[in-house]
Amino acid sequence: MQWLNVILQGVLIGGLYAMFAAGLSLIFGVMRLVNIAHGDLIVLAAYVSLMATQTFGMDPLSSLLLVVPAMALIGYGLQRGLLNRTLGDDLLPPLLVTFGLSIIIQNGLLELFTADSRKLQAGAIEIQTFQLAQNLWVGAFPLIQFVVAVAVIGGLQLLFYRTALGRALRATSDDQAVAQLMGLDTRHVFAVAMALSLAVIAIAGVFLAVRANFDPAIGPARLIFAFEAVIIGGLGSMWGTLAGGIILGVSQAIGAQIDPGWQLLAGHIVFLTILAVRPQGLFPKVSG
Amino acid sequence: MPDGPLLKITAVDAFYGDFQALFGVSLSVGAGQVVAVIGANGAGKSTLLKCIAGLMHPSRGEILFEGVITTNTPAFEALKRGIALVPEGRRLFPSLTVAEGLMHPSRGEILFEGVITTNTPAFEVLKRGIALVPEGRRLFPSLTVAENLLIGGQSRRPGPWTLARVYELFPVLAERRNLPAPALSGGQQQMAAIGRALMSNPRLLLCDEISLGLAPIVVRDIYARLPQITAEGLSLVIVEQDIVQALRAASHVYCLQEGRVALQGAARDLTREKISAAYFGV
Repeated sequence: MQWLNVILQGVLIGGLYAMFAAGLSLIFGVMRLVNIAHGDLIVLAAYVSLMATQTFGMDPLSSLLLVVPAMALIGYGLQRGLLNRTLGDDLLPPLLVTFGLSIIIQNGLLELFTADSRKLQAGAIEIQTFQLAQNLWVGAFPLIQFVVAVAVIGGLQLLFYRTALGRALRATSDDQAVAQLMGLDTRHVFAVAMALSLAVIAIAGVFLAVRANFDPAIGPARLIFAFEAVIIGGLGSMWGTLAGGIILGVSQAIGAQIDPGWQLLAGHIVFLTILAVRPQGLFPKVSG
Repeated sequence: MPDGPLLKITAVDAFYGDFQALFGVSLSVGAGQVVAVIGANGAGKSTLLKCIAGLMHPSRGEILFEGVITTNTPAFEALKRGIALVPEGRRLFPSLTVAEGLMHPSRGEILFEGVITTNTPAFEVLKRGIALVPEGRRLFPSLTVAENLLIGGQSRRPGPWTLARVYELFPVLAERRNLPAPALSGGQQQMAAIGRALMSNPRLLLCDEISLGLAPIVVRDIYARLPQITAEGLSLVIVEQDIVQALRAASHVYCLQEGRVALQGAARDLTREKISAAYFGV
């Protein structure tokens, strides 16, 4: 029962990792941009939520109403004002620019909020639990986090395959020049994709900030988790990304159960194993 | 509406990097007219279409629509000046970084409905009523046939072309609407590419190498449906290596040779000898 509990907790944290990964996967899929600042943007969202809770006295989950649109707006502006200028045949400029952005965000946050660890307080919901079976408990907050993650992934999937916006995103991903011929302003399409990505990041950042301590320097490690979840799941598949997040979460939970020092190591080992055995990921997109 | 041609291209020069692909090309298309542009490989036919569609930007020359000269936005003027001053400064133009090629028209203007479209991004050109059927079809492979058509109508102008009307023109597309685009045969893909362009309700349809890689019977089948398209008042510019089809479909023919107009005239006046001479430069 103890192991079942460990796996269950791993699955639930996997939802958070999937949310880290979904935004990264979306951006890479639509515009072949590897966003090195992704993890730092997650941390930025956590701080935006911190400001919202401190300024308006909101609880962290309600602060999503502010943080999600704020981050989406930042994403749109970032893409139109900066990242669109780096896109082209060469993959290096966007890598370098987002790497620089990562450093700027980290140091900006350090300057504004110091290196102190913070945590968002969500109140009683953080400690509420349900008993599923004898000796098997599940926390209300991790459960909400997982349900939200599934809803976000499902929502993105629907948006991609059932809406005109999703069609435009897929068309632009297929062939930018012809997408322009269809009247799509690819600069706008890219900016909408980045706004979507940062909206997802905002949700992930708030859940991260309630679940654990955060400080300006933890972004790059979140980026690694996001990368690992994307690669495990296979590029281009949203449900694969959810599976990737869950596999990473479960691996880390099992590693931590064996030895507390092995949490991250276990995740990396599973990631490397899957990369070696099945480089295309477990659930790659079938077509294209 | 003023008199004069629907599309008027005056003295357009265009470059790929340092390589000049078009030399002072002029061309005009009347309302409802079908014009063919023929020429050997590398003569500049596709380049010309890309300039009209806004995928490439002539560095000189004019492309006008319906003869009314209206100046474009100040931003456009800035772009134009930017190109004039810094021919290699393509990073000034965000649309160029996503458009294929490194095309800088160096002289001339492209006017469409009186608006200078030179240096206008392709998505803006489409909104003004110019649609391009690109060489090699280039359907979106991860979209279904229906989704490809719907994308074409994403920023549609008012007009007769709807999904139902396209299915009526090419019934096979209706049968296969839910298949992914790569599952279609070459001819069906060409129909889908034409249908996709029609969905925006263009005034002017540019077709790049309709016959490329298709069996003659399929080419004849597609060409046989063009009159249904022009019956809606649409003008057509056909770039074609299949001279027989081009002469049959078009009322006016331009023959390009190494980036220059070597011969032009009414299709019925052009003899095989004249065309051969212009085509091969002999």
